[in-house]
Amino acid sequence: MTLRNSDHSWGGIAKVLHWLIAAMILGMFVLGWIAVNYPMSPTKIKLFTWHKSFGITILMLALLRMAWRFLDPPPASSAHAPVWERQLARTSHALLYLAMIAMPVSGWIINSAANFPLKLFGLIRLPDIVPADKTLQTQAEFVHLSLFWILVALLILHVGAALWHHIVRRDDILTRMLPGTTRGAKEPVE
Amino acid sequence: MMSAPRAATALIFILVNAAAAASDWIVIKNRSQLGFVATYDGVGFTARFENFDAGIRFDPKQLETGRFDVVVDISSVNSDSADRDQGMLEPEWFDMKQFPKARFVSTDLRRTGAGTFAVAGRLTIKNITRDFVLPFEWSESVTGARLQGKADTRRTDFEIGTGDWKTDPIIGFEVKILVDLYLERKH
Repeated sequence: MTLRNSDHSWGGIAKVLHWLIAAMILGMFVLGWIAVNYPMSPTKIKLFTWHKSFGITILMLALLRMAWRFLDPPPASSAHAPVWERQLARTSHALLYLAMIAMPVSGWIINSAANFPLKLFGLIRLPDIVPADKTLQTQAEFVHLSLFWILVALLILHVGAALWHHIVRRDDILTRMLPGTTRGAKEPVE
Repeated sequence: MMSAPRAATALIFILVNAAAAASDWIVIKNRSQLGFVATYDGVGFTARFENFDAGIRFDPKQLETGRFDVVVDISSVNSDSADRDQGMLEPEWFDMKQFPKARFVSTDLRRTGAGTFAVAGRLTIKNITRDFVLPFEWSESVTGARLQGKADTRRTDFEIGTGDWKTDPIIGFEVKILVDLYLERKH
């Protein structure tokens, strides 16, 4: 497996970023849901500290991933797919990237507007990005929760499409993102 | 018998002296601050009480006549965080519904240096009364005075933060009380 993408397969860096972020997003769904519903206690604050820290980490990884995607163009989309399918794929991927950015940013806005400190894993103090403001906090909370449901819908579409490609279409769209898989890769295996 | 003008002069003299001896001060609310600094997840935050009544009788030259009596409206706490301010009123924290007021009543005043003093007294929060000493600086001008003081305390001394909070340092145990009062003479 090479680090860079080939015409037909994702490279190691893109794969690592994809699966790392995927795992963290799923973890964040669970962590965020528990933290919000947990009764007020030191544990609740700690759950939120982890939630915020992982959220900022996802933001940084997503930015890194977008920069890498720009530097290292993705493999070609499936050759025989109709135009509407390709457009749907492109749009849903763009929305996924947007959500990966907007989700943590809206969380950061909530935290700043609520005037709570943001310490990355209890170590690095991050600045507030908006002034303390209860109205803005409420609005950002609405956006954050809405994005959660949008992201859930996008992920159902994303996973469903990947499985459909694999099971119905029997192409390599899913397998070329799997760890270690090189099917369809033009370059020799290392 | 004194003549009328002399009697009047004497009366004015007595009244003026009595007023001066009293040395009562009025807090200029919009400039003064009474609050504390605490920590949340290791990061400091400042909270102010918007409403408080401070009866302050103080004359640096007559410390024995001095008396402080300060009553704080707990519900007026403001740390620029609506969620945190609401949380502080909960039963585990200030328990505002049961204990809406905190109070400090002085018992002793002493000079500690040039322009510096210490007021000892009894501080009552959540119905728990403890000895409390506030060192402060006093500066006086023709028109008014300023009293600036700070003192360290522990929230657990007043059972602020019960249950898990009692032993968990995520809300720091050390709390610094801050007083910065701008005063004008009561006429």
